[in-house]
Amino acid sequence: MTIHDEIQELIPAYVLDAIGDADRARVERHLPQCDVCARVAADFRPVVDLLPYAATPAEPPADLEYRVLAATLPKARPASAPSFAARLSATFSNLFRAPAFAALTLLLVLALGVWNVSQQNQIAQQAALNQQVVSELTRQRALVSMMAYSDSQPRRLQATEIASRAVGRLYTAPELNTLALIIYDMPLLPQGKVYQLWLIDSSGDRTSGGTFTVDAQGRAWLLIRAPRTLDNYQGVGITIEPEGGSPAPTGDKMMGTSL
Amino acid sequence: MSVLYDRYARLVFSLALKILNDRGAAEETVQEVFVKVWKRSRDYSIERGKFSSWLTGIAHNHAIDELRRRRVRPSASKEDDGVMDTVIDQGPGPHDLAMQGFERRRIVDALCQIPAEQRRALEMAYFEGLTQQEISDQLGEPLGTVKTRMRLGMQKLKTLLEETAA
Repeated sequence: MTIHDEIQELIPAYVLDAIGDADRARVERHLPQCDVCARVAADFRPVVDLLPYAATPAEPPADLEYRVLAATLPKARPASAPSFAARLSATFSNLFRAPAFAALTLLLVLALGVWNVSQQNQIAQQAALNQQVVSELTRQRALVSMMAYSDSQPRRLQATEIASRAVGRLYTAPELNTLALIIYDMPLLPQGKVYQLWLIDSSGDRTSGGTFTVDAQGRAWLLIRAPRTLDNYQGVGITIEPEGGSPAPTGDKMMGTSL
Repeated sequence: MSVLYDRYARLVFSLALKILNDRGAAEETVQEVFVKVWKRSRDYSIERGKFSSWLTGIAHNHAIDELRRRRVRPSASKEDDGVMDTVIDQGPGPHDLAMQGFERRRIVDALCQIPAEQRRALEMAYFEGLTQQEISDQLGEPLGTVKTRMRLGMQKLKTLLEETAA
């Protein structure tokens, strides 16, 4: 058995950090000097990279994010001026004795009134935004539930040349007559245009499954509730259409897959 | 940091909980890992591989170190405080969940396809931080048998995962 054979036998345990110190030292001395064995080690890395995903998914508590963010904030500096409080107090004493103090107070009261009206407007806007967030969360949770329900491997969509970098996956839940589309790296849309997904039946007729836009990274997702059972459809396609969608495809085909 | 947290906290927490079997300790691990990543973000470059691999590598090392410390100096196990989360939290988006769900399906499917004794050896090494010698001692199996199981299990996993690569 050559030194390479011996090292390559140790590599699976080495990448798992499960070998003793003496063997680890041998491997670590050898790898920088041997491209072949280094390549073997590199080939096992993707296995180790995926092992964390085998852990049963668990939700961290909601307040943990705030603790993490707080821990990354810079620490407050200790006060450098010991007489700061005294100087502040003196400043206010002088201010209260000034003749302009009454006028300033009046202005302050007026400003507070204006600020109060502005705050009420902001609260109303925030309430509307919260409603949008809740609505988006509801949609996202419906999508996640559907993906969890889907027990088959997702289908990969084939991209046309126009969307050559795009990656799309389609999850199906036949019992729910539902599909979920997850898409990455789609070309950004021109103004006034949307993407539209089409369900294609066995006679070639297209039924709209919904329209969507993409974010700045070309990402989007869409939950599609088919009007008929999924076995009525033999494929899906995505085209660019005018805003609001079209009754039938009119634009360039971007992606598609069979069902 | 908020974006990173939303995307990866669930994965890091799940991994830490699997290794430590203690929600409080898993939360501390998440906090320390994200702070470490925040401070060491300049150390990461694309040549080091995927960011998620770098992050989970740090999380794995941290949780295994904590587990080994606990073995040396056992502490009273903490119970799950059972506090229900009632705050609406946006959490990871569908893209992140889809990608993590896809990766999870790949590795779980692959693990299910290798013999149980090989799977057990790999899990003891990765999730329990045990060396081959320690696994041999715990299972009462010869060291050579454990080495063979681990090698064959990793080779089989590698082949299976290559077949399902996106």
